[in-house]
Amino acid sequence: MDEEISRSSLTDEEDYVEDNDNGEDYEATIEEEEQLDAGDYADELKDLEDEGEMSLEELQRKYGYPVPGETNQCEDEDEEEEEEEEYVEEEQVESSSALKESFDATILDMGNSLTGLDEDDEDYAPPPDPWKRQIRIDAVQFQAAVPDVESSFAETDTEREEDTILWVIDQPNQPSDEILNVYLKDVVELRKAHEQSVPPEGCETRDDEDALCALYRNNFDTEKAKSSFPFPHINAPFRTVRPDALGFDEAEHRIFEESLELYGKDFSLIRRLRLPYRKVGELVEYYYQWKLTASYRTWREAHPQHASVVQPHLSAAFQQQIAQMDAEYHGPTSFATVSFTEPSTSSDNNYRTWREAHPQHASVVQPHLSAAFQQQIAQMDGEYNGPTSFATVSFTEPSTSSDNKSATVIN
Amino acid sequence: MSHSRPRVSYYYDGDFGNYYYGQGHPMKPHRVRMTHSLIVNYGLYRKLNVMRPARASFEEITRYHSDDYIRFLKDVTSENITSFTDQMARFSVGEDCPVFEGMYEFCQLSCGGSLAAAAKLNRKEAEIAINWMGGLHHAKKSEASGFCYSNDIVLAILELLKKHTRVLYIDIDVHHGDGVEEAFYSSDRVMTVSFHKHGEYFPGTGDLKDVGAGKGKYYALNVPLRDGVDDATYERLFKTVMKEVMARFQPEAVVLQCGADSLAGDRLGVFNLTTYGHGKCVEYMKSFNVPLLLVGGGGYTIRNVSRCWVYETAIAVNEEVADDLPVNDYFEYFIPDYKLHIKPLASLTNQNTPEFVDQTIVSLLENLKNLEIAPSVQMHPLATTSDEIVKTFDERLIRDHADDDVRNSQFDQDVRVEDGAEFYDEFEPESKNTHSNKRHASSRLNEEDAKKTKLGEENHQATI
Repeated sequence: MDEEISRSSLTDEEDYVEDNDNGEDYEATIEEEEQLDAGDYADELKDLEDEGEMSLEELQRKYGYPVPGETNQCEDEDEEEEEEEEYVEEEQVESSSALKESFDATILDMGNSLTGLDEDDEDYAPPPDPWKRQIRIDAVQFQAAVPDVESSFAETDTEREEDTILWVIDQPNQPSDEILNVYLKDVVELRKAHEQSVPPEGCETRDDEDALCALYRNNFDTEKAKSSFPFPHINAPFRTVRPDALGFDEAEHRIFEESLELYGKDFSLIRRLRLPYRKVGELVEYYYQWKLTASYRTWREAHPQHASVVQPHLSAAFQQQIAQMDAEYHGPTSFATVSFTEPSTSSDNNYRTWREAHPQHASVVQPHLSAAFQQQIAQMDGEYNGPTSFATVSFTEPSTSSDNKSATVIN
Repeated sequence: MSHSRPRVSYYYDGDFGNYYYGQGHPMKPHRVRMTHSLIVNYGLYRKLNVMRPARASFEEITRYHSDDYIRFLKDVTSENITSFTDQMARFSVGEDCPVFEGMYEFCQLSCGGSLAAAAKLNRKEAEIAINWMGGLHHAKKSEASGFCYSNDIVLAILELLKKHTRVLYIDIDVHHGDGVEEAFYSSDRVMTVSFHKHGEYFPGTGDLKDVGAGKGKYYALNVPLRDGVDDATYERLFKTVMKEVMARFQPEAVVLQCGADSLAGDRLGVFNLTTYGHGKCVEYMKSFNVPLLLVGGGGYTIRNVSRCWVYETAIAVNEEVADDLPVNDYFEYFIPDYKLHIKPLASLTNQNTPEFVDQTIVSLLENLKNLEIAPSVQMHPLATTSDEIVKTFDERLIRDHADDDVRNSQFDQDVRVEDGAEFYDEFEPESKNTHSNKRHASSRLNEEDAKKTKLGEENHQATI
């Protein structure tokens, strides 16, 4: 009450602290109030505990009552306050790091054991719901600066660096799907003639990004686009890999597999120790390709410790459920164990044989195409006798036999 | 019911899949490359406007984030890491959010995509814009969190605010969208709605009671859920809530974070959604015909992430795609069935009982009731008067004309705002906060009501 009366006087300006709640009462329930002051809760608990254990003199000292026999009252009070403050601070730091640890354990599956909470903290009473966090409110530290509408709309458009346009639709001279597909098939022929990699059988009309971009850049003129062949490899990585990097050869492939065995998937380390002329991105790229090959399968069987990781955050009951499901299921569960037809030592035949055994995956590429066009494709396939899938074509050097390569090299 | 095909822009950078968080880390940027390969091989690529986005600059990223923090992200590397130990602690980098090769570039690409997408929508060159490299919703102004370093979503929303009065943010990641909520917690121009698992789960925020603060009070909505939520439950909640949100907030643009860790069988997630259930959210928001920005987010069973996002790309372009996956660069990842759609886990109990869902919906609608459309009285009733003393703020006059049925109107809130810099005895200061960004009720109100009823009917049709 006294505060309100003196508010209008200038001397009390410093005392007045503007609330950002517009004078509204947030705390309609005790729960809500607790929530707001969640940070201070631990302090209060600790204070209460301490007070329970303090002697009468200490209590008297704390609350400013004259204690018989005391001379330097003020100093002692200050000291005590300082100690308490220190303790409280430590507490807060510890609790937040304990929180952090429990979060880390639930999120990250790095195989690290919990470093463990401090043993000295046996008496420490954790605040309720330690996993709970609060949204922090501070215009400078946390919130974004959102201008009012007038200011927003008055802002001039910042000139962004231009995006690279790779393909557009809804143009007045937009080619139809039929024209596109003919163009794409023509491109496949061009690629074959230049011994570049081509899509698997039945997938000639897949959206060839480079070809489409070339078409766009030639204003949808298919003849002009074709005459600009070979096409630049658009949207290729260039920051994470060296643009002139060669594919992995046999020696590197061996080093790669050995390194994985020694160091696991620490590509930074592998690069530094074994393949220093490579960029980490090249190793990552190769890794994801290598996973698709047979040599990966063999490697996985030889190294079961790298098998898939569990989900530690899930309840024990759920883990049990998963284990049960795994026990009941007898099919392949990872591509380390799946073989496309039967287990085979030769990697090159598997994909081809599998594809023949699973024709439904060949012609699903463009379900939207007309039946007549599908027929055309089928006819063209019937006439063609050369290699038809990337299981038979090598990607770097021209080769009559693909069986030499044990690892498919991807450009 | 379908309108003519919307123009959809798609942003992707070929470097993105080569960034690697580290051994054993569940976040794998490679999943975006897998998604891209599916988009290409399903023939969806040719239906999109495809762009390789310009990466975001330091200036663009620091439109939200603090300079110190971004400078740190830019300077720290795995080689010089030891000289940055205090900053790493300060900015929470090093554990969940490790230092990895090209980390800053990675942020630039992620943010670049979302900024480009937002700019596209601003120029009205597309109805839907997609950036699967984005959606990293946990990043804070000066802190990395939950595998997110830079909050591309906040940046995109700030960009959208240049041309849209109100922007709605929806988050269907299994984790609470705390970074975005925190950024806009005090703003009434951005409404954030998050559906997530709540209860001994990262990040710990997202309680039903968290509704925003200050001017932003009631402009944050949280839908806390339990383990095992299935398609039917989720659809019911999503449609009930979003229908009401759209009707009340009436955003001019929508940002939908499509975190795929809410799918069944996610390595870190605890929900039981299928690609159908997840995709329904995209379908539903698309049906409002408001400019829509789709971004990625969580998702740690990468074969399912790519399935989900290619399916949602197909939804955006109004294309049906076969359940048999086309041959693609990562075909073998999709064993054993090579199908697009996933099945829910039969063994996972849905702990969100009908009663719990009913209760939750009731509470949510209660929260939403506070989102009133601005009353019919103008906020500056005496703007035309030349009386200097009265100025624009005669409290008594406004109260006389105020709608008594509207409680806690913007006016009521404004009246209680103290201008802390000034003290006064008789003359009230000109209040700075009287402008409301709420859609003002007008003679078009009847038109709006009619439109809403029609929307309601359409949506009813859509659920059948």
